Amino acid sequence: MSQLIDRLLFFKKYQGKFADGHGVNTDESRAWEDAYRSRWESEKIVRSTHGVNCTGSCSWKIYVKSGLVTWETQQTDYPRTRPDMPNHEPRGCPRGASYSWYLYSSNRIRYPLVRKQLVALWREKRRTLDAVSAWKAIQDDPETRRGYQKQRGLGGFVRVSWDEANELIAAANIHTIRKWGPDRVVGFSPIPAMSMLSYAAGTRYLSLLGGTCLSFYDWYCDLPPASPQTFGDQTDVPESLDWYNSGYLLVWGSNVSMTRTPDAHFYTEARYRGAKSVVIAPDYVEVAKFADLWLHPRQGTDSALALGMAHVILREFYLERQVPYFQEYAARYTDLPFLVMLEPAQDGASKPGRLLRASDLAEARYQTTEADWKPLVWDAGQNCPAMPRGSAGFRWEKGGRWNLEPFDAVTGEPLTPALSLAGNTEQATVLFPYFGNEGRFGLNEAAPVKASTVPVRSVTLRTGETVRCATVFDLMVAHYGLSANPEEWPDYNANVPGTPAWQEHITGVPRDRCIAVARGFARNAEATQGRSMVILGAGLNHWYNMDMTYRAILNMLILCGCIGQNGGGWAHYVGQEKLRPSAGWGPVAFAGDWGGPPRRMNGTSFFYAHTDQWRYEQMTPQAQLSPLASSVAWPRTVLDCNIQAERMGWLPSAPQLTTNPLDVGKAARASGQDPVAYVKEALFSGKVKLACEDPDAPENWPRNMFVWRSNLLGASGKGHEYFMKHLLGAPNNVMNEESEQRPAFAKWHEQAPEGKLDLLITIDFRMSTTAMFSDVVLPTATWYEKSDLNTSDMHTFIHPLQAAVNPAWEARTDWSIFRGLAEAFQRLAPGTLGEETDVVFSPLQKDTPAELAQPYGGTDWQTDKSFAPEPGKTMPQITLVSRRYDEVYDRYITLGPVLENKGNADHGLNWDTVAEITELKQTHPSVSGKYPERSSLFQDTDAVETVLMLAPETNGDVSARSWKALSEKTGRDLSHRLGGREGDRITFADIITQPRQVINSPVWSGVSSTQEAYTANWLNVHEYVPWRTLTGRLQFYQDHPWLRDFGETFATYKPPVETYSTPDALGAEHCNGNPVISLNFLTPHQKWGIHSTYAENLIMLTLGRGGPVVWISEEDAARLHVADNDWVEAFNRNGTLVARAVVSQRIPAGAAFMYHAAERTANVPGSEITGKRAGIHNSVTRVVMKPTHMVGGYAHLSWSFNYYGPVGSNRDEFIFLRKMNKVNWFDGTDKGQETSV
Amino acid sequence: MPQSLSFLCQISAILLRYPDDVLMQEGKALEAAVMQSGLDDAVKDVLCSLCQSITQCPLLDAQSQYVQLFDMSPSLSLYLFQHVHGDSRLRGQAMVDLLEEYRGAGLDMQGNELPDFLPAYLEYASLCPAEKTQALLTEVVDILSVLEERLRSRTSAYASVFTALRAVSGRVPDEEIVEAHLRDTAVMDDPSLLDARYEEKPVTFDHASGQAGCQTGCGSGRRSADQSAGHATPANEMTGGEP
Repeated sequence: MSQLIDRLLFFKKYQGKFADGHGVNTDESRAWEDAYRSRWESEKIVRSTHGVNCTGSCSWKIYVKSGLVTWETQQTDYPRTRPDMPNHEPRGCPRGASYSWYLYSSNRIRYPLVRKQLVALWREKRRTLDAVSAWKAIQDDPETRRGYQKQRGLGGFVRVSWDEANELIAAANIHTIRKWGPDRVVGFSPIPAMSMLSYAAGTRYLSLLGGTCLSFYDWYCDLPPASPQTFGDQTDVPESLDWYNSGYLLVWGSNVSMTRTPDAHFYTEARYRGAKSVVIAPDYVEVAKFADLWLHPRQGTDSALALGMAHVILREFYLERQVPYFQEYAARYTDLPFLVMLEPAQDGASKPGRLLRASDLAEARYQTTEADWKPLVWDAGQNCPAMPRGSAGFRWEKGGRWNLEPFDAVTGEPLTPALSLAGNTEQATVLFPYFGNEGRFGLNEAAPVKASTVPVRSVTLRTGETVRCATVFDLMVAHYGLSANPEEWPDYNANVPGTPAWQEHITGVPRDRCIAVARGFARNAEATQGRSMVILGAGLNHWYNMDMTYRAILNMLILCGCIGQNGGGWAHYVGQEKLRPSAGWGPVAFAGDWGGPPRRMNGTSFFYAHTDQWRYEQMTPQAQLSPLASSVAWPRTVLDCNIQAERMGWLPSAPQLTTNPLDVGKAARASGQDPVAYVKEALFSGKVKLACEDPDAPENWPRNMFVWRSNLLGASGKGHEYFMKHLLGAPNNVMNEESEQRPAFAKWHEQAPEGKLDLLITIDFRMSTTAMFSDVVLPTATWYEKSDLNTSDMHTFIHPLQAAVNPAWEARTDWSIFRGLAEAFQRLAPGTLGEETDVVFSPLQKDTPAELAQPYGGTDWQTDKSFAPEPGKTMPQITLVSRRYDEVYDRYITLGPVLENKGNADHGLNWDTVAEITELKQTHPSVSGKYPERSSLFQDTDAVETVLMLAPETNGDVSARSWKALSEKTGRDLSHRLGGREGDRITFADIITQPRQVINSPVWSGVSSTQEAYTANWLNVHEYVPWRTLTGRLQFYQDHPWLRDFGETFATYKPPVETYSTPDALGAEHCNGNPVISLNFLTPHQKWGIHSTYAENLIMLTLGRGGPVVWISEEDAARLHVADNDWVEAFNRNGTLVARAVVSQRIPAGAAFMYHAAERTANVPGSEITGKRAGIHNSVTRVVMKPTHMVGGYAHLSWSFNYYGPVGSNRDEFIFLRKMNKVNWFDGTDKGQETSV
Repeated sequence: MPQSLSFLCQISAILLRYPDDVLMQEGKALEAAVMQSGLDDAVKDVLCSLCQSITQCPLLDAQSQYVQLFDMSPSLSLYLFQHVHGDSRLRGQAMVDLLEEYRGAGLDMQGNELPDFLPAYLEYASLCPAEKTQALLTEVVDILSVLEERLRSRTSAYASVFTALRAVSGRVPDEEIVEAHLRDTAVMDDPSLLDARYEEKPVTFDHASGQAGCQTGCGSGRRSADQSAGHATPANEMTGGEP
């Protein structure tokens, strides 16, 4: 037989073994697998994400079956990065993965709720009165009003219909606007980037009314004031992918593995790549496990460590040896070569004054426009002062000289500025202040004033006077304890301010570690041209002197040329969260399409004034001044500083005038004069007064307040008990006596007001602490029930939130909630409000020509009557705005005409946008009866498409125009930075399909591409675009008079401040027999607590002992006789809280940690001290404001929303802690529980 | 009797809704309907007295009591799966299954309630053939019994509905499960027992027993026991984890 016939050619036996017996074929049924397959089947999978706080900005698949959300899984389709770089996915964390559980949870708010007492009053009045009169009648009776206010926090909610809720709220808004003024209607919502249209819904409604929108970034104390001070930018940082490019990573006061879960893999990958990792935190923080070296300075003393490191860097990389890359970087990109005028100080010595400006000199070549704002350098070639390009004075003039090209601005010749004047024979003795002697802890004694020899040059001024000038570099060398003369350098082991040994005495970090890290950091930067990075965060930024710490760290980065380089720079990830399509979003959010300006207010000053925390203030500005401060009289109190800042146009005000601005507007129009001049004169003559001068007068109280996307009272309300007492008039635990301080500029009322708010409205999907204390609670859509946009600074993609299902029960999207309110408002307003003239005050705003208002610091026209104030120059800008209260709804749902006429603008760039508006009219025609020819904003999706159409980041044509605008401003063609994406469009349909990488835009300081990770300040370094600072460069030196008086021209060490919250007598008074000790009270971010899940849900409670906990060290626990899990009470003058003690080796002695934010709704027992229900972490805090943050009208130090302004710091706070004897739950059984079980 | 069973389900669904104007106006008519039904006298009495206690107090008081009880207290939630799955991933699929059952019976939900809302479930039961009605009640009798006890301990008149439903459910509640739930309630209602609610057994890594601690073994054992009976406390759900 043929062997061909003996065998099969094409088949073999099916059954049997294969793969050398490792595999076997079987034929039993596999139907059982269907159960698993169908488990993952769904009708549809919808792309969405998680909205408010969470920076992760992870895209998720939401699974919908039978109209119900069943679960979610991570999306894995981010556009990939270039080869050799890790990809973004996986992104997501257990918080996001459990969010669907919230949708149908018993924590969900299902119906509009109003407290029973208020409903009864409302319905009774409504029987006989129209809605507005009914609300008026309730408010006109003080007892009735206080009656329902006192019920706040005590339950008693009933469900009401949307119609009734809307009518009540609209009537309250209308009455408030008519009686008190539109700026008494206030709204608070944080961090728009992650659900920007939900944010915009409320601010659009408020802005159409003329209501006040409160800032959040500064109030949360997440804003690092060091960023505007140094960069002239709010906060721009690298995306997390860029960590991978770094060779040396310092993680400092940030806990990325815990709080940045979806990004943490880049950190692991960077370590695999070989990056050195140093983690700096006072406790053994979770991210410390990633560390090659863990440094643990005493909390709040980090600036000393950074100064010690920079001392080493300056000495070894600038003085002993010059690194060419560092030298070139310092000369071109920093203010180090700029000239500082020396001022006479005691004993013939000098102190650093302000920067020498072109206007100081007599020569004709310096007499240009805005010469006050053109600081000078020393031209090493010509041996004379020279005017470089790019400073603030060039920004708002034509001529294209606002750039960092190394040319003399006058001659156009190449300019080599001298970093140091050393080698010249002229010298001066210059004095520097030292602050390490005073504060709560972290002290290291030295002379309060230190003298150093500094090389100088004499310059003759226009006045004929001769003044000695030094470069910022030479002064900084002296400030850091070094000198141009090597013989004067202190030994590293000498306890002399600035040295590694000196910092060891303060921080406890061994000097050799400080030296080693400094060397490693700088050497890496030298070898890699700046790839050393610092990730820093809340652990540093929530302190009173946070700007000192941040600047001390930024100095290290700048000295090493790391800013603007991939793999280098500062990475601040707290609360900022980049809203990428900001130019498209801005007009929609603040109703700029209908004209403005909007009323935007800095949250910290607002809450400081209106929760009356100022009445308890113990700190004074004078006590904080430098020993070298000028003798100019400082405002008496912190509130006085704020009032002065408001008068001079540095900070905004809310409310603005004691009189209703609608009445002022009416009178101004009727006067026949120029209405702005009328208002100015009325103010100057005292006929009209600023509201800030009497915050406790009833006419100046905020009256209606909206809180949405936020847990203001629970999570972020520093001074929680003062909120309760004064703003809400609710039960509270304030234990504080009012201060003996009396402000000089504000009226003092003997009786502090209680219950300023007529109406508090919270819009949320869960019963948060804020909702619990509100009068009206409206149920909002969750993140799987609405359409919105989501961006972050952690990556460069834009992706959507989408309605996977309709909002459950009676919930509505934020967009439709405020649309419904607008509808009710427009319906009820006629008869009370119609077409009105509103007088709006706005501060001297950053990124507008008004930022060049007060080149030498300004004068208060109220205390110095020798000159007449000029709006927009020496006082706030005044604008008359025509309000159409009869068109609030029509305008809410329609994109207005202003953009067609004025174009669109962002960050000081302006471009035409008629084409986009025209296209929107065609694609999204209006549904409004009144404006049928315009485009629609009726649905949230209309608003989304409008934002995408108008923003350079999502519309290539717009981007091209914005690059053209920057090219004109800088005189440098930057159009290539568009990266060939002209004509590119990103629409909602696109991002539903896949997250899309945004288009480059000059609004941001970096560029994103698939080739390189985004990093901030990239354009400045690589395209010579100036920073938006006074010098146009990175600012080491701050020369504003207020900062000079505070001794903060340079970053310096200031110990944590005394807040006076724990006087010994208070501890003694509340002794229950157990030991009482005082501890520094820190409130870091909780794991899983406040982003897409919150601390009150069952899972979170299960993970966290079911209620509030305070972490303490074993040493302190022993002193307190406290064992783990014992009940303890923490108290100080501000209030009291009760929690379980977690005793841990992880915590340093002397500090107590209470991660935020537990909710008052979950297992909070009574206080032993007050006998009332105890509070939360913010019950023992009170906000303290730093006057230097109030400065304005001064180039980079100018106010803008969430850009600069006082921040709500709270980590300098101390508490008393003691073990409790009895825990009272107020559960009716009246039985106390023995605490030792 | 069968008819009276579905009537009881229907009237219970009405009484367990949020009290509104209509309910207040219809109070007398409802009482009359109860009296005319074929229910036991004792059941008639408790239903009428609940009806009276709702309709005779001012509407806002009745409403705020309802909100306080059923909207604000997770332990009294009227959503059945809250008591079975709590806030967990299993809940979504359970609701989908229930909705499919309604649709299988030719019914679709109107309005904006979830399928596991007890009054909706009771209305569905009232529309089913008697045998099915009985079965539906039997299935949830443990939850009914737990809610009854919890409401009784708060001296709420609403307890009577659950008493009536339990009585006709055709099955004696599983003592063990109800007890377990009530122990949990006791903890919820007595915050001083907080630890009992949240404490986890320490992992011991006992090599002698051949397993690393008891987490895996105990956890899954408890889950299956609870689930077979239709109950798992939410806290247990967490320790049990995902299948």
